[in-house]
Amino acid sequence: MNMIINIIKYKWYSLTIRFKLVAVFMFTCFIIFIVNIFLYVNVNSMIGKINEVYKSNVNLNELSDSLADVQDSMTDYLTTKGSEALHGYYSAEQRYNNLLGRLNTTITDSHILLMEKNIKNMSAAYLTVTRETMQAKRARNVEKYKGNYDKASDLFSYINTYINSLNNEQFKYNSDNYKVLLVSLRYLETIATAILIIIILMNVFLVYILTYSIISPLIQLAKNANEIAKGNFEVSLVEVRALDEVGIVSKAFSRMILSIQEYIEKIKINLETENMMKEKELIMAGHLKDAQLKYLQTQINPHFLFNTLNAGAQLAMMEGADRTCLFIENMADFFRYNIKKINEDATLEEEIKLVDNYIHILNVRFSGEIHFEKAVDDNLMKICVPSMILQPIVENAINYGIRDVEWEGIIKLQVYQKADSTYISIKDNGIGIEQKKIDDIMRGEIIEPDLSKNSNGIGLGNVINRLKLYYNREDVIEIISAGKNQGTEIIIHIPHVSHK
Amino acid sequence: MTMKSFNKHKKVLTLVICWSMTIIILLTIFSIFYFREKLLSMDASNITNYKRYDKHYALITSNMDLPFWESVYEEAKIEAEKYNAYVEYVGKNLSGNYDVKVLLRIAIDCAVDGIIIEGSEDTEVTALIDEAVQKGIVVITVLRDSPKSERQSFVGINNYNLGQTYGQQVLKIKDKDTKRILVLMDSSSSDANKNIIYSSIKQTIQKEDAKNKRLDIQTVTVDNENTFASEEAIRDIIMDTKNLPDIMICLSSIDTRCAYQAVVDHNKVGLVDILGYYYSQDILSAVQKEIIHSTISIDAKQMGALCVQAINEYTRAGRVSDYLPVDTQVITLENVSHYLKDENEKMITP
Repeated sequence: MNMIINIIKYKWYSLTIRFKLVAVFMFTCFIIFIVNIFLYVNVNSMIGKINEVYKSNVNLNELSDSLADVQDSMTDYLTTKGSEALHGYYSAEQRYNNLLGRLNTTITDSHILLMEKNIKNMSAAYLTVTRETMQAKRARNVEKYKGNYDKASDLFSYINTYINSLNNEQFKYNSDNYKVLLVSLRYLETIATAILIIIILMNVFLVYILTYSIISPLIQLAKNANEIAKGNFEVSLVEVRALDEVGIVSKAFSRMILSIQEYIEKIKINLETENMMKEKELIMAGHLKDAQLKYLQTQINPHFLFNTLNAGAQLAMMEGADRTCLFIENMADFFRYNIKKINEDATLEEEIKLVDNYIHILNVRFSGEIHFEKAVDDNLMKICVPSMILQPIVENAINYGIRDVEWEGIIKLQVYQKADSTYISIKDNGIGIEQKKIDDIMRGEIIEPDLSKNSNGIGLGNVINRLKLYYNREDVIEIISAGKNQGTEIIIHIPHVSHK
Repeated sequence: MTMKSFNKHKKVLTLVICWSMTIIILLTIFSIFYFREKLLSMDASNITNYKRYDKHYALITSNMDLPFWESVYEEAKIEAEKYNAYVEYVGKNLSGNYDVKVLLRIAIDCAVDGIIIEGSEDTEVTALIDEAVQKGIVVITVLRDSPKSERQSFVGINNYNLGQTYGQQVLKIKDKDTKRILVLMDSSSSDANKNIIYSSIKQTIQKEDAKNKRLDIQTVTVDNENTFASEEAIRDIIMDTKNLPDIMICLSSIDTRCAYQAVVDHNKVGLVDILGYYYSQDILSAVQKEIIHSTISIDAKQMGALCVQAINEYTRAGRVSDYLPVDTQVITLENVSHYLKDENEKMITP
């Protein structure tokens, strides 16, 4: 059974839409056709019944005519004693007997059948009497044939009455039947109309359902296409078992989605490799810079530089130029730190000393224009920080903050502890930075100018990046500026958690 | 729509289609059967749907429309059923109106197995009964006898008893003003029968009321043979104000109804006491209204059953009792409601 259903299913799926539509149409037509056949068959059977009804009346009339023939021919014979009349009598009797043969002979409770039986029996009696009459006539027994003739005539009239009554009864019965027929025709009409209406409704429903089943994959297809148009490539594929036109389109669509998905996958992989390439490039650039530094370092023999500077300092001392001596010492310390600490961690104390050295050098260079104030908690001096972080910030504050201001430039360095963190604040009263620029700096998007001439070569961006990397957190540094000419404060936030 | 719901949808679709098709087919088949059933139930006529019997009996009565004879016929039919016989009410379905003689002639020629006939003392009828008996047909007379014929048995009421019953009723209603008692005799009954009833009535009255001889009991023969004759005759009697009877005894249901109608029409209610014969709806309601004092009920059912039993008894044993009596009862105001109820039920379920 299941196999048959499956075969039918398969057959149905492999049909074309055109064929399916025709099949649906044919099916509904077939049902309506069957119903019509049913109607016609019933109407025909009814017409048949009406025919039967009238046939029985016709038969009775025939019987009555035949009986009249018998009576007439007998009367004729009695009147004329002609051989023709005798012959006529016999043939009439024969015919009448034949007709009687059709009548019912059993006893039943049906009036009509019982009357038939009575007619038959009475006719038998009547025919006996007529035969006797004919014989008496031949024997010229006038008395007898006259008496018998009267008897026969009475019987004849009784039989006729019976036949007429039967005719009436049958007619009554037939008209009853006719009424029944009329009523049943009306029934038929109602039933047929009801069936037709119901079947038409059903058919409409079926056609709707079937056409829906045919086009629903199309609707699904359109939905999927819309989803894809919106950018969602993760749509489910339309499942179509049918092998018709829609099935072909749906399959093509599914293939298209699959290949688009594949293509997108490929593009993603390409993008990733490209990114990796860029990263590599950046690392290369870092290496390059490193190499550049190494190169610069190797250009000067640091010991020679420091010895030379020390010699300069001694010379200045001997000549009594104390300030020059101090200046050269500071310079020597500054460069030594630069060379020594570039790749190591330093203490906060060492970093602050470097800032002192730097400020001293700059004050000599710019004749004491820079006012440097320190407010340092001595307990925090031994904290370990990455090297070369404070000096570039101070350098930045001088170069971009107070270099060109009209008023007296002040740099204030504060180291303090708050909660479980140490805060290093470098604050200037310079021109300030716009918020947008601060954001750019924090994101590392400011392209730093060539620093190699006016600084030790380390920019603010570099410091920020190193701090972020070193403490592995984003909020390690904060740049605060109230706006133009309002100064800038850079706060480094060093957590007290253990670090390498 | 997910794949799962899509599949589910497909399944529902197949189910819906299958169901619709089944419904359409079932509907068509059901309608065909329903229609056939309707057609068959309407075509309940017995020309195609009848029962066969072994024996054919004929019932012949002078007046076929009387409810009394209807009751007799119905019960005879029911009784005959037990013996697998069918009783035909001869002449009932004929277009012409024939008298008893012709009907008997027809029944004989129809070669029935038994005849139940309302007898008469007519010589022709007697001769025909004899002919039937000679032809081997069992003949039973009912209600009225043909005493001179060779009929096998008579089923009816005892005229002597009937007379006594009437006499007792007369004694019940008579008062000091009661003088004339009129007995409406049936022209078709024999003189002997009339005499029996008359003398029985007279005897009963005189036995009880020996001292009082002033009661005048008369008989009037009403012509029953001719159609409408009895009605005219009774009307004549009622309209004859001078000789108006105090008590009128009717010996047929037609006479009873005519007398009742005439008394009402001529405003003689209360002046004439009617003693009726047998009952019908209107006779019973007249009893209830006290227009008819009382009426006699003959057990028609018993009568019908006895006739058929007599035929069968004769066919089986070759002999049967010559006279089979049927019970009678007096219907008065006291018990009329019981009969009225029966009559109403009969109307509802004919």
